[in-house]
Amino acid sequence: MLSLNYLLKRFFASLFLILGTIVITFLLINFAPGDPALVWAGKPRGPQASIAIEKAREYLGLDLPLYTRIAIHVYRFFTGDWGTSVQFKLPVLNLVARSFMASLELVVYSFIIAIPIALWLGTTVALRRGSYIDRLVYYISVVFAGSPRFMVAGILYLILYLSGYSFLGLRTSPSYATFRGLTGFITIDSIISGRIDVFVDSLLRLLPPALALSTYPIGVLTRVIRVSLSETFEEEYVRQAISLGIDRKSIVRRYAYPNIISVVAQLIGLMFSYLLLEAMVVENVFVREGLGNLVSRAIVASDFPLLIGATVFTAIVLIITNTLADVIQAITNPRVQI
Amino acid sequence: MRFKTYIVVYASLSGSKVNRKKIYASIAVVIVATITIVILYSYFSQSSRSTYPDHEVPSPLEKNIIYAYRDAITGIDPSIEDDTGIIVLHLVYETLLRYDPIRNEYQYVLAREIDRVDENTWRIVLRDAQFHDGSPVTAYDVNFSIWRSKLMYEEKGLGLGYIWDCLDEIDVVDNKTLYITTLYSCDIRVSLAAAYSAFIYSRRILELSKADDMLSEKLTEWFNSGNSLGSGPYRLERYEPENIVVLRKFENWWGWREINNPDAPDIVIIKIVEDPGSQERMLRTGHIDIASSVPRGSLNSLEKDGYKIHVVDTFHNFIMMFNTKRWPTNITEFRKAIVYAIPWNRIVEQALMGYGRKGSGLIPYGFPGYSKKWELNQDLEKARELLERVRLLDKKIDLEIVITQGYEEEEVFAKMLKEALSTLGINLLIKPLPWQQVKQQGEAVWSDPESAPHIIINDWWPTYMVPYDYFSLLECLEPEEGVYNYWNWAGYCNKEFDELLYEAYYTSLQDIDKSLSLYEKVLEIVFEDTPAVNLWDMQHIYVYDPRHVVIRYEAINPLYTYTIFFQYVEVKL
Repeated sequence: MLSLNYLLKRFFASLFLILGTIVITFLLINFAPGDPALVWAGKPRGPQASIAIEKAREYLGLDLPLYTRIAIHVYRFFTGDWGTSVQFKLPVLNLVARSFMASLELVVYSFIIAIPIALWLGTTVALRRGSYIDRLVYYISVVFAGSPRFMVAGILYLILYLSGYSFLGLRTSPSYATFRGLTGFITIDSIISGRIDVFVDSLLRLLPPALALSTYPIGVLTRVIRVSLSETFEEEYVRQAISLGIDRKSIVRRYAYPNIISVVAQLIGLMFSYLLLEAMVVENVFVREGLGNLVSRAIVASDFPLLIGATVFTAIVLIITNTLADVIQAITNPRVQI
Repeated sequence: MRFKTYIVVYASLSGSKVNRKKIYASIAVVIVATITIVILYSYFSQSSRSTYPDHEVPSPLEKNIIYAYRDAITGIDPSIEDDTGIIVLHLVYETLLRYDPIRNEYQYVLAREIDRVDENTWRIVLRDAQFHDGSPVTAYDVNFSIWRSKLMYEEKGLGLGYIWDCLDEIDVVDNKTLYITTLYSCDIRVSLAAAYSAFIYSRRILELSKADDMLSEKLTEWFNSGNSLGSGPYRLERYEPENIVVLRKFENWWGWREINNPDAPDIVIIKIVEDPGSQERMLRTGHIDIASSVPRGSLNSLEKDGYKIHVVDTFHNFIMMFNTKRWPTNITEFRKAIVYAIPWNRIVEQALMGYGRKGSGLIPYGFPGYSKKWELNQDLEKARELLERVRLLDKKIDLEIVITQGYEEEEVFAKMLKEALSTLGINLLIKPLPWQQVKQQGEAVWSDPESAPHIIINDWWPTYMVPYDYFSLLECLEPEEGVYNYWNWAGYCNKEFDELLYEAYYTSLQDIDKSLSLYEKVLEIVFEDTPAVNLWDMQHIYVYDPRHVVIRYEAINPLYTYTIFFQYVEVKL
């Protein structure tokens, strides 16, 4: 079973990593060229501009020693004061949280698309090992997993444009634009509020980028399912079941699938972090809100508080996801705790 | 994470037996994590909710319009916003007056009457208008809004409250009448009709934001969290400055009775789309109705496909500034030689593809003080002569120009200039940077002139109809006292220029016409010293499908840059 010792070890390791990320991003941005007070002050004009710059210097504590500034930064960070975006004049935490939920929804939908497709493809080729279909699926999955996501997204955008899909539902409708819910997942919020029109609209808008993003998990999962099922089929108990004349479908469902669940669950956990980064690229192609769009804008605008916030937030999510994946792995396979 | 990693993970796991309990435990971990994320999100997003929590469900019959704007919105505090927030602010809030530079007349907005009582006193009577919460617009609100704009600038250095420089006192007589007293003779209408820092809003915001005083940061945070309490034709429904702004028609706006536009949009969606190529794609696929920035090379094709290309003159110009503190651009003859090397007559045609006007002096076309007499032509002989005079001809000089990344007209211009300068033995290194970094490079002229570029291009649009706005880019202030003009990217300091500029400025606040001769003298100094030169005046191009959208004359006013007054736009269902 899961030991407290293991949990504590993972917790403190994660905490240390988060702390390190906060300090390193702060230092990197601190040593970037230019006066941070001028950036923070925005675009003050005239003789009074100096007041705004002086106040910015005060707020940023630029006259304090570096270690004090790091301590203040870490303290503010853990008390929820992530600063204000220079460009948008909004609390960084609000901006990052909002964009993260948009990206998260995209990642979740890409898994919803990918898992059944990969399961079906993986099972089909595992049952037809060495056939033409097996080879064809192999090539497709390698292309899906290996192609850069911006390329896949660009091609998909073009296909949808030429096929006229974009006329169906990609225009921002007033319902969609004015709708706001509690969870930040617009598809779930719309169902909770009984707004089917918003649900359909948001789903149509989500599908193309989710489809582009799902190519990666489809490619990877198909291969892994194929390999693990093939190995399971060689197990003694499966052979026994076949010899007893049990229906093939039942063998796959009852005996083979339970054996690969933990593998698939683990991979999904590991892929989640990676897909979150890939989502940033896909969002830009589809002009969709999300962390990717936010980070690219922060870079262009030298919006350092937002850049620090978004970077640290992403790092935290990755650390937490990996920790959760480790915990799940420890639950399913206690040997990893050793 | 690569494929091989998964295989390794698989290999490590495949030996273990999994029972249902373990699977349930794993699912529980994921569910707990998800619920935590949702709770945290709900908590943090609470503070950004707008003043109007109960949104109306849009009916399918409501007319909506989607306007694609090229930059993120930089803030919506009506007193301190000084940039792209203008496109939202003029729809949610109103000023007392609006100025039409084409017809050269003031239009009454929230004011019904404005009279000059004596040299320093103005009497203003307000019309019957109401804020979005139904409360009436009163003289007390006007008093509050104007003072906040002025003091935010004077006390905190924020915003463009310097437009209220001449304001001394505001006396509220009753709910609808007030007197403005000025420190010196000054035409207050110029400030009342300014593009920035002249918006009127309800003083109830103090109570709503729980701020202690009008200068509290809580107020700014309240505004920028998506709240508003103005009296404009549209109220703010959703504000995500990085992505989307949604405005809904304010049915009780006083102006609906007067403008006679039953087809005005009920919902205005401002979508931030930075890439011009994406704007074109979205326009063609019906994602947006009005594009504000499409590649100029696509305009002909769009026109052929039935889209309307709406071209408007603006006061948005592109000014080339020389680093006057770094060799060799610190030499006046050298700067002039570069100016004479500019292929002036090809800029509009090649860099702007015909959509702009050749620059002249510093003031843009149509603005008070503009004169064609400062226009220049390329004269390479004269450029050579000037370089010879300072013994810099064919000396293989390397120069650096910083331009804004993504501004295709600046990129084309820089290449044209590079080509022209190469004939004079000058090698121009073109450095395109994101705008914020361009600004940092420009400001560096004060802290480290050697690291600042030799040449830099700044684009500028006005705050109000006073020529000083453009000349302020060359004002020196008091660098020895630590008071820098961070927009003077030339590092130019000339006492005579500053004194004359102040005289022209104060005269223009009293009487623009009288001040023009003074501004001409200021321009002469600029011409003589050449620290900066206006390259071109931009024409803004709006592209839309005329079968669905009609933009009336009043919808676009060059003083209120990039703003579309949607109350004057017609949407056909």
